[in-house]
Amino acid sequence: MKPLSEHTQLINCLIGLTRRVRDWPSTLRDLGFRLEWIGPLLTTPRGDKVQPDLLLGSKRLLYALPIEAKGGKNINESQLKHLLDLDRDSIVPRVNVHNPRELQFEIVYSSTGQNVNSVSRQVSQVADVPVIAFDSRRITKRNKFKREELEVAFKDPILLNGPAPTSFYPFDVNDDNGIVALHILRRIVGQSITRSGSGILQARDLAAEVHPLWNSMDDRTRAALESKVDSVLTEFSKRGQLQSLQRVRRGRSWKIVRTLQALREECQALVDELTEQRQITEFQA
Amino acid sequence: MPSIVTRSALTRTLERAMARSYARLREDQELEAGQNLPKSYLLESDGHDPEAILSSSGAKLTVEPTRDRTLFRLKGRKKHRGQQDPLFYLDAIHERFWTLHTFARSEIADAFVNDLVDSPRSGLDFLWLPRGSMEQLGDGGPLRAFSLRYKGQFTSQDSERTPIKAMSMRLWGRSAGYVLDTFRQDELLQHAMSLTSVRIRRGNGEDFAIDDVTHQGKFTARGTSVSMHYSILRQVQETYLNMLTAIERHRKQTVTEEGAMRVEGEPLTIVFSREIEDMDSFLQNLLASRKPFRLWGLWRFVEPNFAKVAAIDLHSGSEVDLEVTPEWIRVFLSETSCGNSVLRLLANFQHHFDSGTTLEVPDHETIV
Repeated sequence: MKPLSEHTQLINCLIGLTRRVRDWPSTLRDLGFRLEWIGPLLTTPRGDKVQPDLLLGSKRLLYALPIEAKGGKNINESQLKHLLDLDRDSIVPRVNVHNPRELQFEIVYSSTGQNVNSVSRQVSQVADVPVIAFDSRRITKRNKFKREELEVAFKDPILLNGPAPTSFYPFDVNDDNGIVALHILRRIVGQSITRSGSGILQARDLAAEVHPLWNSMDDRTRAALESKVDSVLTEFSKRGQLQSLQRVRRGRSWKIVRTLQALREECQALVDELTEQRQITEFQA
Repeated sequence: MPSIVTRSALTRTLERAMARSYARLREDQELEAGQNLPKSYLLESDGHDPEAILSSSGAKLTVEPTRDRTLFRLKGRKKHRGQQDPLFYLDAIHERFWTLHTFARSEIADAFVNDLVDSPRSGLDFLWLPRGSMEQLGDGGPLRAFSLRYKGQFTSQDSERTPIKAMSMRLWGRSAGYVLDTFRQDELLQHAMSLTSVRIRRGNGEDFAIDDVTHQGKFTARGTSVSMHYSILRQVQETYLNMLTAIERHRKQTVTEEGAMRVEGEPLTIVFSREIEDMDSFLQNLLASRKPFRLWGLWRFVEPNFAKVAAIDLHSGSEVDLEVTPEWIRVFLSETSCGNSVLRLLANFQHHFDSGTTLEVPDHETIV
């Protein structure tokens, strides 16, 4: 079982392809692609709103790639149709290129190696959209890219030398509580050390601080994330760590380092326990 | 000592003290009581205002201005009866580094500087010169002395696979460079070759300085020319600033606009020349909030030999993401992180895990 959701993994894998990361290929960076936006809201000529997971742009190729990272086996057909409705004017405002009138683009899907057959079959029923698939050993693709440079770059499987990056995009609502807890507990301890924040812990405030896409989330996603953070805080307070945190806030001395160490062990135990809870839930399901 | 109120008076006094101490040491005489070698400490101040730092710092000291706006007199408080209050001159003309000059005895001066750096919210840090930079310092001329100190912190005491658990050595003489080169070639010793100080000479003929430079930015000077001592300080400062700039260029930055987000930056990689044997115990040690690493953190294993770590640099309070495998660690610095965190991590790995550890910037070029 992977602790990161497929969606979070895919977003990190794709961003990684636009960077120089140890033991990870820079296939898209080598073609001049950079990450323009995560989760941009685009408008089709008919006025429909659609939000791909990523938008990449290459000044060198004058080309853009709106990418949908598909965790799971099923695609949302209406979302794919909206993506296919996009035209150059929908994309130009969100891509930084020298000559926007010449900009071309194509829609790309991404999936895990495990689900790529199902995803590419569903996508192909609507259009011939390329699908990039990641598994632990290689990157493959289904269907053809319109742009030749991309087709050449992904034509043969790309062998992977090491694990995918995980730190460009922290987590989303589908990630397990253990992963969310890493970020939430770190922020709480960080605030205690720097004595920033009001000292009152609110699930909603913490979620907004820790998740960089909070402002673009719809109400339903925000509520789901807030509830995740709340459950981490509930577990946290049950174990009495909130008291430890208050103690941390009062002073900064060698004694605190010992307290921090104790707090670290308690937090780590909570992260491990939340992971186990998920494993048990999955097993029972 | 006469009261020093200008930078030129400080320079004259430093030069006199260097020359006097050098003359006595050359004649194989001990220094007289109260006659100490002048010392300069380079500290990384991250651009903070000196007066603000010193007034909010918990360190016990008084600060007095001088006629020069960027020169201050700092008076510490003695720790034991019979000691003198240590006196320092803080040169804060550089926006990123402070230089503290003193004539105090080494143990008193070191204790004061440690307290100053460790005091809450000081915003100050030592320099953490990696092995490569220390070795390059010696390249400017014949190496006259060096010290090594290595103390394995990540290997269990009974591990049979550990060739060296701890090593400490100081060597003086004209063969210092030769001995160091010989050690570097040795397969058994090369993982524990962590230089803590080198003695270097700069200058020609009658105008020269001989400095003992430590990997934490302390310079003990003797010789005839304070200009040459300053030249060594500047050389180290520039080298260090270049490394910080190269590191900070890759910090993770997040931009949000119209509900979308862009994340910029790339990870740096700390590469080991020997593998981590036990990932759990390694992470436990690394993230224990203790000196020298001063990192607090939690981790999850994403794969059996790949851990995702959410850490806090306790020195600055900033967040750092680490991705750890037995061969390397990807380091994602946050927007507010200081490059010094990475150099501290690197230098401490070299002194406590593997002196062959290197740092790669994202174009896969080793910078130190």
